[in-house]
Amino acid sequence: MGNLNKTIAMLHDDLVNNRVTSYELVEESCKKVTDDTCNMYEKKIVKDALKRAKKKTSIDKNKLLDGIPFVLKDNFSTKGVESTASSNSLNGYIPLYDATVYTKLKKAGAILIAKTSMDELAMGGTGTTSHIGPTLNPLDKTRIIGGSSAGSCAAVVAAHCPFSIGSDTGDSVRKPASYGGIVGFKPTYGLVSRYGLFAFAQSLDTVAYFSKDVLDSAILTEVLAGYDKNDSTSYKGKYDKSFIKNATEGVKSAKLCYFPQLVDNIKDKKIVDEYYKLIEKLKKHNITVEKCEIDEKLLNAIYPAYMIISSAEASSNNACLDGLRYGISGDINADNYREYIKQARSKGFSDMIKRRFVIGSFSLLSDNKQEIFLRAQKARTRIVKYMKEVFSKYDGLLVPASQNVAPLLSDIVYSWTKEPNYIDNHMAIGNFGGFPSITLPWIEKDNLPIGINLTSDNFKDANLLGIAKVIEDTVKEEN
Amino acid sequence: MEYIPVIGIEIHVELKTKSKMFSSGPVSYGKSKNSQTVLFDLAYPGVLPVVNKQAVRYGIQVASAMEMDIAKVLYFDRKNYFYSDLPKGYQITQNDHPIGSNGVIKITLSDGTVKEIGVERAHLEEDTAKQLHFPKYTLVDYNRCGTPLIEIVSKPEMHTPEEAVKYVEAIHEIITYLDVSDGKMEEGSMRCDVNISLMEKDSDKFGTKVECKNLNSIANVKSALEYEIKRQTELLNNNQVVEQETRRYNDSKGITELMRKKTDAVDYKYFREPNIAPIKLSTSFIKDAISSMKHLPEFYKKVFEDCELTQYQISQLLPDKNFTYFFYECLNYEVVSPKILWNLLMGDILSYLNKTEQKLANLQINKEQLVLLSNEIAKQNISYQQGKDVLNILLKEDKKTSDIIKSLNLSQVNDNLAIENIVNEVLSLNAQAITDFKNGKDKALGFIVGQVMKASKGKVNPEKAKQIVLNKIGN
Repeated sequence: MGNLNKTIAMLHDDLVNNRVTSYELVEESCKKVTDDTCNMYEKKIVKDALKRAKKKTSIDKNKLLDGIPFVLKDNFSTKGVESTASSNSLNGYIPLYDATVYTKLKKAGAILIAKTSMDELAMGGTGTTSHIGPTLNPLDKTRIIGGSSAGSCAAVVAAHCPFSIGSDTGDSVRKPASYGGIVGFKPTYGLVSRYGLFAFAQSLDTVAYFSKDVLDSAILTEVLAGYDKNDSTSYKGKYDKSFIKNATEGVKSAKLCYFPQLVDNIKDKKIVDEYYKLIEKLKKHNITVEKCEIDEKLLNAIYPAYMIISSAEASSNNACLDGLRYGISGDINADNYREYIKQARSKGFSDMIKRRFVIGSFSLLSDNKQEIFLRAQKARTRIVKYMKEVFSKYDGLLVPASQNVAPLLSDIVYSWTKEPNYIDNHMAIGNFGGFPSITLPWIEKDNLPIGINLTSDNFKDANLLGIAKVIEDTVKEEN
Repeated sequence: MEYIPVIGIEIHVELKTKSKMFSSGPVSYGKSKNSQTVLFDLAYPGVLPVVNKQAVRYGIQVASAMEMDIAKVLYFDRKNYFYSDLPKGYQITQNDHPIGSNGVIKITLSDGTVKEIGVERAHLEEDTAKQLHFPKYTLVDYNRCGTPLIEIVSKPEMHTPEEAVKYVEAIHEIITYLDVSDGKMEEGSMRCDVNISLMEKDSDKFGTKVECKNLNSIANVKSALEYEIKRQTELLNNNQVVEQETRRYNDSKGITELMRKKTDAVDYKYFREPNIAPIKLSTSFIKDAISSMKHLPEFYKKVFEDCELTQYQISQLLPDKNFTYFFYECLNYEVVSPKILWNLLMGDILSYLNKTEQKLANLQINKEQLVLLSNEIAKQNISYQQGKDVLNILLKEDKKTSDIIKSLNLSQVNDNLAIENIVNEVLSLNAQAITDFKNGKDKALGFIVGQVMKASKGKVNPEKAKQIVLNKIGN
């Protein structure tokens, strides 16, 4: 066994040429999922998956995902399959409908094996705050894989399946991808429908996915992109759709930039050197990477603006989790609805979630809104405006996705950073502007991966994938 | 001390769209509980709002009818609070940029003066679920949850209960004539909250505002305001303070009762709804919505004035659009005397409807035949009394007016000599009435003319009969 180390494209080729059957792939996936030792899963539906795989007797040549197993983050609505977003507040909640993303994947023939664990309600970057406990990094179980899309990332890293679906609100797919040494792609906000994605902060939330290479990201984008009448923010207009073509051929040339603070301030100077080596090599492929100045104030504003906006939206988005219609219930002894809601929410959320709600609510109170929430919005607007200027001159921003390898589980602290370092949080820029952003495998340090991140202008996803393809090839060449 | 009431009114109007404000759930009334909901209405995780285009069109029409500035871009905001009738934990509304702002409503007071009341804003939002309270528990019916609402907020520019009533009537007319709502206050499809404070005469300082809720009829608006003016005046005159609070009108007692103090006010933590990108309203979309507006009462008022109905008669027709439409449609035929037609409609037909508990909209009557009947009376071919008999048949059977007149053998006696004969006969039998009349009892004249009509089986022209009687017994 070992088919699942391959990419979607390779597996599709094997399937249509009868070198392997969908049932064999699903069986392998189910076995690995069942034997998981990294706490990646909320809900395994292996029996059901095997049943569906058995029915799949022929593979559609035109459907690249046909017969391929995958896993889905637990914050996507799946009809009939318990979906908790790793929160006690949703224990026992069995959705009545499928998220658009899941519907599209089913239609494309992909087979769901499991729902993956995540930071509770997607709020966190460590993958350690799920109600079932921390998800571990398959490459080193003393380390985290990162979050919030922890289980989805770990599943691909451990080759339980060739791709998985997550969601990215700050860097929830792109940071774990860096720690796992795989590709994590967040398309432009509005390109993929959010219908059925449990809300964290809806102005930032984006469906995003993990894969083994850039081409697979393009294949997934081809399947998932498109207007959805159920999501008013999904995009109706025209855009370049040559995802697969670009990810196959690569672009002929591109002009990229980097913000010096996001490279030079990395403590490990070896990593800094690696970066400059990379941009030197890219020149050979007609990709130039120039230094581009940015006001440090803007970089310093990223973390507070992100925490305020996302917490404020989260406090409102999750107000529906009151235990009155679904989710947590029983054991509640209340005289009135207020008391009932209070008890349900007190029991349903961990303290870290409550802290976000309190801070989010506080920032929206009429006495504070101007000074906190609206200021954060203003900072967001200024950052986006500056990025638009950057993208008018450059095809993308290329910077390390993390300044180090995956942290040790024992090093994780849960208090909010008092002195945030923008090197750890800069990828939220992609969510502020809804920009497409991809993390690619880059270097290794102590046998653990660190990724590189490329961010482009809105709806330039196809071009971004084309550039990413060249970088991917360049990085491989190096090794 | 003399006080001037300062009144502002917030009106919630349920819009008559097919589906809800932000979901495909049906908008309906009187269906079985919790049968008219979709996933969004119950706030299942992951659902998203989609703006109802028809509700936006209705919003534009209402705003246009109130001469408002119409927003070029639609924005929606969240109003956050926990309540058992609010499944999402927030209501999607328009806080920062209402679809309509800065409008005006013209009202005509009973003394004939016309006053303009400013309308601050009109905004689109969604309704909450309906709660059914029982002694030990509360049940929630989500059918209403998400129904489109337009909230119309007046400026505090009304100063008497009469002005308030006229304002509410005017809004009611607008929304019913535009056909954007049923406008049924008793069923809650139009709901009024009234704010009232008292201001010292010759002062420009506002008093403390009290909000009155649960006003499910226009009459209740009036009595609640009258009660509050009295209550607040007494408080102030006794050197007590009016407290800022919300009060509920108790219909059966005719008083307002304390609901909650304003100190418990909720901070709604408004912010922009992230799931609805700003929607540009194109000029053509706005123009199209406005050009497809149904006629407003003002239009019919002019038509009725042109056919010389009195202001009183017009004021009786306009509040119920069904009567307006009925009368207006009758004008398609040649009406000799609109006043006689009005009498038939607002007198005889209305009392028939009341008696038989029918609605005008459901009444089967041939308008052309009704106009012909009205014309027969106007031309004095038959008396009004005889006309009533014909009308009674028209109301029940699909017949021609001319045939009914023929079959009843009706015609009005206009021949003076014939009338005089009958008058003489009546006078000879009613000496007492003649004496009464001569002693100044005017009623006696009516009695005598009545007897003449009776003797002639209603065939005599009553005006002529009256003249002849007067000639004989007058001075």
